[in-house]
Amino acid sequence: MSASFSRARAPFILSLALLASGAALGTFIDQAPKRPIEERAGYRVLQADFHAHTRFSDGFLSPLDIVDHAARRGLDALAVSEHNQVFPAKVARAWSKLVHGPTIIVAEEVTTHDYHMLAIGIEDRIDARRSLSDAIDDVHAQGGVIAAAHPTKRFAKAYTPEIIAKLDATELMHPIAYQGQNSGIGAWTELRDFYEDAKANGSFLSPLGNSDYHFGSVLGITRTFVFARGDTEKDIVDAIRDKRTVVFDLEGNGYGDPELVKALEAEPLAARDVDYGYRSTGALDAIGRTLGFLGLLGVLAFRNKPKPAA
Amino acid sequence: MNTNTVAATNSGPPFSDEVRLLVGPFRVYRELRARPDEQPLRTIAARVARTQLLIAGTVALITAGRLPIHLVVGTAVFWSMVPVLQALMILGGHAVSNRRMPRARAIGLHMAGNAPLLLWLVLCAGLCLFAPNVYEAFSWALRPIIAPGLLVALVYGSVLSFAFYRSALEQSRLRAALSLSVEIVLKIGLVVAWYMALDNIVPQLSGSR
Repeated sequence: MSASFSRARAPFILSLALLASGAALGTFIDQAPKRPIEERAGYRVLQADFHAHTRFSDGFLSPLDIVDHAARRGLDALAVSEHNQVFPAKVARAWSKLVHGPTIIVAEEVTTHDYHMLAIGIEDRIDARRSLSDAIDDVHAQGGVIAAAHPTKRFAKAYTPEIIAKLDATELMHPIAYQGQNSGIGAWTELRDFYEDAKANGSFLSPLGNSDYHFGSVLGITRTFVFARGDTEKDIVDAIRDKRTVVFDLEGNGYGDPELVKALEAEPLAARDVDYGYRSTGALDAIGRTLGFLGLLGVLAFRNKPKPAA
Repeated sequence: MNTNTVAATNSGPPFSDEVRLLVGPFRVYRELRARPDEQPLRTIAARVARTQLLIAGTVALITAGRLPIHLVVGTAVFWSMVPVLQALMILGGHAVSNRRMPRARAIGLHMAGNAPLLLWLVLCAGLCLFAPNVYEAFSWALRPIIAPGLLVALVYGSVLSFAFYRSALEQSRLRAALSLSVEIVLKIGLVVAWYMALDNIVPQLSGSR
């Protein structure tokens, strides 16, 4: 091999070396935060997100990787809620059991022209062609619970007083809370109003904080504090059914059973080392990220073999 | 090929075919067609590996902010429908061409035209990593830069496909446009079929009973 041959490949080889260094450092540094067991008001308090999508519909992550990402975000439980499917959630649950990850709950975002609804704690797929009332009955027959998914005015039309009376929960916190009036699906205050109106009309719904995760770092950015008897799927579903969930809005106002809100306000949970802003944890992390990024650019930009003679 | 020949042909910039196609799609596709390829399957494997590495690396960076190996590998596997989809599209476009080229060679050449979308993806990952405040940066850049950038990447990707049919397969303008149309229809059709199979489309159109 001549010196020219080596020089022709040098930028590509260097890019691969940068990428490998970035991957090695990234793998070493990428540790999930500790999830200490914490109890308040006689219950174990779990941090959960009940709305996440995978690569099998419009999400980016595989059912395996979303389990790791839930651990990375310090979640104790995650409901994988694919559009009109449950098998990705079952794959995630099996994987999480294998790697001792967070509790994965099989769920489905029943997604139709008329309504979006979270069916949490089910085993069999809910047919999205059924009426909302029938779908709710099907979920309850399976032992699951129902939450209204992002019920802004645009998505709340099907939720009549009769239907709301059959709901177990509603999505009260959602990433649209960070987006003001420009979220595209409505304002966060509409979610709060849905919850408050239901309460005023005699339906106390478990408040849920979900990230409606599709891609990026934001899994669990709005999360639910679940007061459960344990950390199994059943314990968590029971807690939703029994209205033992608490959610805080961006101003720190608590929603849910006042006694449980008070318990968390009196003794807040230990902060988990989670960052959604892509900030590096130190110099080594910053170097690893930069090397990895430059390596990726180089892999795209440089040729990996010399141009053969025409 | 002796080493002197190699040295003589590698005195230019060391850029990949993907990047060179960005700059001069028709000229570079003509050049690639003239270049012999005795191992087209190996070329396909190298281009698929490059594409998957870039997709997986980007997804890992925008997910975790770094490149954990298990996340990169898992993403590369679970996004493997991309090269499969692309191969099917190319076979469709190739089927209506009147200038025959071995299928494997055609797939390998077409896959060199993925740079617009890959570059857009990697730059999005860069924004995540290096913007002082990611959410402010995305909010600011989404409508004026990121969304139009995606549109430009998709349109320019189609220009590269057209250049492939026109210059690499030496088709007439009309025939190249037909091949590109078949490719786009197949692309949309396969994506729609996937979401139909997952029951994601019909309930959203027809509603519940």
